[in-house]
Amino acid sequence: MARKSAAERGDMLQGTLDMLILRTLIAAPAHGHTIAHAIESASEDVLQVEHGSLYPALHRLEDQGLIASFWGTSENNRKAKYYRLTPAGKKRLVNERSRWDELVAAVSRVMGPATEHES
Amino acid sequence: MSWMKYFRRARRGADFDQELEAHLAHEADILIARGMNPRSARQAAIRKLGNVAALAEQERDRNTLGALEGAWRDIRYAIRQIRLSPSYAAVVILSIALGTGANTAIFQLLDAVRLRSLPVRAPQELASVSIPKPRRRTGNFTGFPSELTNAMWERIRERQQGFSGMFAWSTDRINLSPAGQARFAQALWVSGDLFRVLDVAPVLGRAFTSADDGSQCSLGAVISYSFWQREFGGNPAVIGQKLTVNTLAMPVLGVAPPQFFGLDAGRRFDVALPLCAERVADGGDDRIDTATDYWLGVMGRLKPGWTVEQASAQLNAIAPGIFQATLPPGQNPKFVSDYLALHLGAEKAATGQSEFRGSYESPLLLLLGASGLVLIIACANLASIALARASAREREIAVRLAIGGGRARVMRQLLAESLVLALIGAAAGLALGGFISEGLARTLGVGVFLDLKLDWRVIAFTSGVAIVACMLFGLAPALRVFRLSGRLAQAAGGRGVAGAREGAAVRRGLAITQIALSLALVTGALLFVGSLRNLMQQDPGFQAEGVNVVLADISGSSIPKARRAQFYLDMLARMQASSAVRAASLVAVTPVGGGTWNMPTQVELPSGARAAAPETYMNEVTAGYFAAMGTRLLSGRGFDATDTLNAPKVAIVNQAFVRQYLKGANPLGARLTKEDQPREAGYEIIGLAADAKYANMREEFHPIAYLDAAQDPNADTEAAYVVRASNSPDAAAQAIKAAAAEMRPQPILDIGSLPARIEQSLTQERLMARLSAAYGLLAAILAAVGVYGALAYLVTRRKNEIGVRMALGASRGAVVRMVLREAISVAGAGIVIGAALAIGGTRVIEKFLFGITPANPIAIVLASLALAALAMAASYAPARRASSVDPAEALRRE
Repeated sequence: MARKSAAERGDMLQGTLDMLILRTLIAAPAHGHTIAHAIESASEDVLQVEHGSLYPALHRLEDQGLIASFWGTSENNRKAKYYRLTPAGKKRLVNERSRWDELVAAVSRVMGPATEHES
Repeated sequence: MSWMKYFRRARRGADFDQELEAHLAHEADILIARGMNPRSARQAAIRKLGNVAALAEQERDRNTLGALEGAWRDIRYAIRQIRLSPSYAAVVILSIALGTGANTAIFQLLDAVRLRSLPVRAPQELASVSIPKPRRRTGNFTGFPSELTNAMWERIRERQQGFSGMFAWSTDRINLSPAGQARFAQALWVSGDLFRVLDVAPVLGRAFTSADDGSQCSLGAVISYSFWQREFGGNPAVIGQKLTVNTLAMPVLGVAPPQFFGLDAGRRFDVALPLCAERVADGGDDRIDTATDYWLGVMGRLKPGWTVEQASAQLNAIAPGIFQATLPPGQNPKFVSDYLALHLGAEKAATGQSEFRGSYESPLLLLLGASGLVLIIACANLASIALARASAREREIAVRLAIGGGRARVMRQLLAESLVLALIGAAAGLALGGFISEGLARTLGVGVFLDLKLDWRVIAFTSGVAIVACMLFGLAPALRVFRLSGRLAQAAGGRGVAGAREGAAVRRGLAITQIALSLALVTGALLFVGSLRNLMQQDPGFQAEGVNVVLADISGSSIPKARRAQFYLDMLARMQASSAVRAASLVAVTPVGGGTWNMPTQVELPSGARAAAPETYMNEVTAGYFAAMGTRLLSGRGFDATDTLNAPKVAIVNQAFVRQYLKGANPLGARLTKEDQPREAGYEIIGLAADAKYANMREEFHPIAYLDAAQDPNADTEAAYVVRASNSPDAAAQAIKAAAAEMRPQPILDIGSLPARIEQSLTQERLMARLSAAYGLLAAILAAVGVYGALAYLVTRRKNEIGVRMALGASRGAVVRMVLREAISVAGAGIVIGAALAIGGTRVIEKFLFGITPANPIAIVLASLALAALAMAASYAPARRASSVDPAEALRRE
């Protein structure tokens, strides 16, 4: 069976999901389900996280040492695997953020101010 | 059915299951809170999770290290397969253990002799100084390496530039006993700087310094670690204790570290002595002050930035000055021109210099080749067995290929199985090799010391051999997988007929190869055994049985030089007086002792004709010599009591002398003169003796001239006698000891029997004969097993055909003949190829043979007959099985 990488299959821009996960974890450790819903609600449901692609992303980040995991009890009183940001993860988030800002600015410059063009 | 079935894997898999389960529960909680019923809520959650199977696969990939885990799984599978058939595993492991063990043993010897560096700091910086060939050195060559004289060494030390430090050394035998029976030890003469240059620190006391070897010679000894343990029980109070060295008391200054055996690989020193002590320890015959005594080896550590080639060039540049400065005075013009034509050079010496290496390197390489062939023959049997197993598993493999198993994957699994077996076998072989090599080293004789430890080279060699073996027997079945994939339907159908025919052809080929290689090995073994037999049974020109060789040493006594000769004659007379002694004689060059004394002589026949005898082997004996040795006097007379110091000088020559130099003329009455000797000082030839071996048993008879020791007033501090016993050699030895005990001063004695001496001189030949015979036998047995296997397979495969033939009227005899025809064709093909191999291959061993030609037709015919007989014997059981096939049963099956 042919295999696709998570990035190829995902709908989001490559690397964006990783950044969003890191951003979500800066507030507090969270388990996968919380992370998915946090991203969705923070984006006012614009970004829909495919739950299936979340876990490979989490495990990849863990393998890279950007986040660490531990088992805890959730708000629903269920056993769940929690993830927290590591110092390396924090550093990566800072880098990703500036890279993202540059990207957004660059794309905006290319697109130009939308209103002016329409008038 | 739950999707959870996708997640049954390692613990991390379970971890992942739980994580997903928690996710689903949380998602369901939300949906239930929105009013969905629990069942649909869960299903909705699963749907939202996406493609669980793909997720699980991704997770699995994350948890594995890909190929590595694949390999581990292959190995585990292989181990399971091996445990399913323990007898197969046992046969393979045993064969490989024996094969690699034999190879490892020989390699370990080679490693110790040839490959291993000296156990000192940065051995690659060491280089040895030599006089490159071609060279003509005239003088006395004693000890090892006997490369240079002391005068040369001192000049080299002064004038060389390429070395940061240099030292000289030589091996010797010293006597530790103060009186009575001699007790010998290995000595190492060293210049003061040796320990500093090699950077060898003593474990106790101190090593020599240049001051010990300077103008003030300190008579002390540095002993080896093993000697310290052996002689002093490792007592730390040994420092300062006196050691008797050639009856001289010397204090122990220090103990060398355990790994330092000296510089001569194959020998281990006991006592190191400073070079300058040779002046006193050798009883006044000091080699250190004699410009024609070649006894030293010189080594040094290269300066940083200097290569061996540069150092060699520098040495050669200073060589003319050195030889000019050290030229011994009063030599004839030929000597002077030869001497001044010598050169100097340097060569790498990281592995030290070894006397043993010179004589054993090529025999060991040869034995390594032979043991390699035995391993190949053994592997052919293993391949045959592995092939049989592979055809038994043909269906299984076909099915696996059919349901999508990759060919590479299936092959890998089969190879993994062979590899596991090979490695277990190799581990056992490594241990076995250690035992064998130690046993071999012991048979090499007294005084041989080989540091047989496992080092990376030995381990790498054994693993390499095992892997090659694994390829040899594992690849054939693995390669079948390739062909198999094209015949899936057929094989899965049940009867792999085509495969079986192929299997039979491969097995036939293997059996032919085995016979061919065995024939070459057996022929080689016959040649070696024949050589040894020739050496032992030839007429050496003397009768060794009942002869003792006696060394008498008076180096420690203060007996004046002028009285020595008479002293030895007195002792001879006392020996001869005993009834236990039939005959006795002094002898300068002991028979088959390895030493030679040769020089150019001239002969003037009574007719006035002159003949040159450029290479005359000299000896000096007394009246009883020919009687003691049992060598016949063919004409003229022997030495007798009338041949005194003042009587005319006389000599006896042997047949080879007459044959080679006198063209068969009668030598009696002729005059023999040494080179540059005036005619009047010459010797009258009074007798003709039969030919006899001189230095060793392998040599052609040399032209020998015997002089009378009673007419030579000069004598050494050591003398040798040959003594023939009246009855038992032991009684004669007692009489010799009694005679020595009556002497004042008392000499130190060493008594050995001549047959034992001869035996020891043939150690290498005996080793080659024994090992090659063992290898030949092993190879022949393995080949017979191979032939048996091939025929048994043939009979099994054609059982039905045989049954049908018999049902149609073929007699049992015809069936037996069919099997025998197959055996004959296999053996015949093997013998033809093997004979060609033997004719070509045995040339390699020509120089090891004695009295037998390499491509000896008798040896090849004998070996062929032996192998043919073995092949016939091996075909007995299969033939019987074939003839007992029940036709009715075969028909039913058909």
